[in-house]
Amino acid sequence: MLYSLCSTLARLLWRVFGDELKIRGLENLPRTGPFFLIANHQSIIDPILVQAHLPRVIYTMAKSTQFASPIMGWLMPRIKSFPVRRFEIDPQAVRFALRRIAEGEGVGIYIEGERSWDGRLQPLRLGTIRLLLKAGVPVIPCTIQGSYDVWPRWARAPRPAPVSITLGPPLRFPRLDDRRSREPAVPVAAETIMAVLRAQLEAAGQPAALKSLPPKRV
Amino acid sequence: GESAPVEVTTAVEARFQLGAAPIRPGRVFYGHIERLGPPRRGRLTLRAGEVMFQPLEGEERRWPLDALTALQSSSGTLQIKPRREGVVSFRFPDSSVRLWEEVLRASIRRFYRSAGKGEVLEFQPRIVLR
Repeated sequence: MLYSLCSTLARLLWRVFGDELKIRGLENLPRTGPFFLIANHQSIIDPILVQAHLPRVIYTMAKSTQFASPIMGWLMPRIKSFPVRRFEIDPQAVRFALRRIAEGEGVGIYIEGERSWDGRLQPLRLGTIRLLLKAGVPVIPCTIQGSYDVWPRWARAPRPAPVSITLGPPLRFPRLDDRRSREPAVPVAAETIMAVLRAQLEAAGQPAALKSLPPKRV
Repeated sequence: GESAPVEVTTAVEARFQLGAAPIRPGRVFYGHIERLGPPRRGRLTLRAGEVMFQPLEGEERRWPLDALTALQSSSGTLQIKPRREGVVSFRFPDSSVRLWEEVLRASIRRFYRSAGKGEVLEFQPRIVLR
């Protein structure tokens, strides 16, 4: 109830104050059944835009500090966000995600683990890759391009800019329940996901703020 | 450089974890969130092999770099997780959290490399070496 109300409100606010929003690949989102939605993270508005504009309910992993204030502590679970403590391995966050998957729901994870400082894709969190391999359900690669121009991590306030959200075809990894078989598959799955996210971001075009930056040194 | 030890320091507001609180709206258990104590003003200093917090009042705290199990920025704060302690969160009124994250990361990388323990693969949710 509150989820759909907040989604409607977010869509309305974007229509009034936002810029163009393109959503590509909605047909790649499963209509029923469990899935992981794996996204890049350019801005605080990413989960709001994604949850507001996708037709399926997405349970989204969010850092635990976002639940700290009484208002957010009340609101966040009601808009299907669940906490993860990022400074230690958080088995409850993993259990929560796997339970939602077992119930046939969609779970969203921003796989870089934090917002990008400069809008560019960061290394992926290997713990999340392990979770994907443990679950063995379809993985929807989702890229959000342009939200860095709207509200970068270092800015105090947002400004209008075009944003595009792209959902790629589902990636399918085998379910690897035991650690021994899972560990060798982690780097391979990470490379696959990284390559897909990078390709989708490049296809969507670079955010305006990044065009003047030199290529990233790795 | 690899050899010259440096010392850097800046003013901070530190908050120490007091405990954890469950998030349980209705019947579903969502997980725990950390409860942080009140901000304590002081100085954060990084020097060869350790991080030190000197509060304006009270005892200083020191953490050898290999006692840190995680390091990450969270909104405008830098969080460190010392082994067998709660998380400690630092806000930088006169400096950049991004800068301090990079400086600490570089120091930890250099520390493990020079000790022959390998390269840091990840800084959160825990520092992982390969």
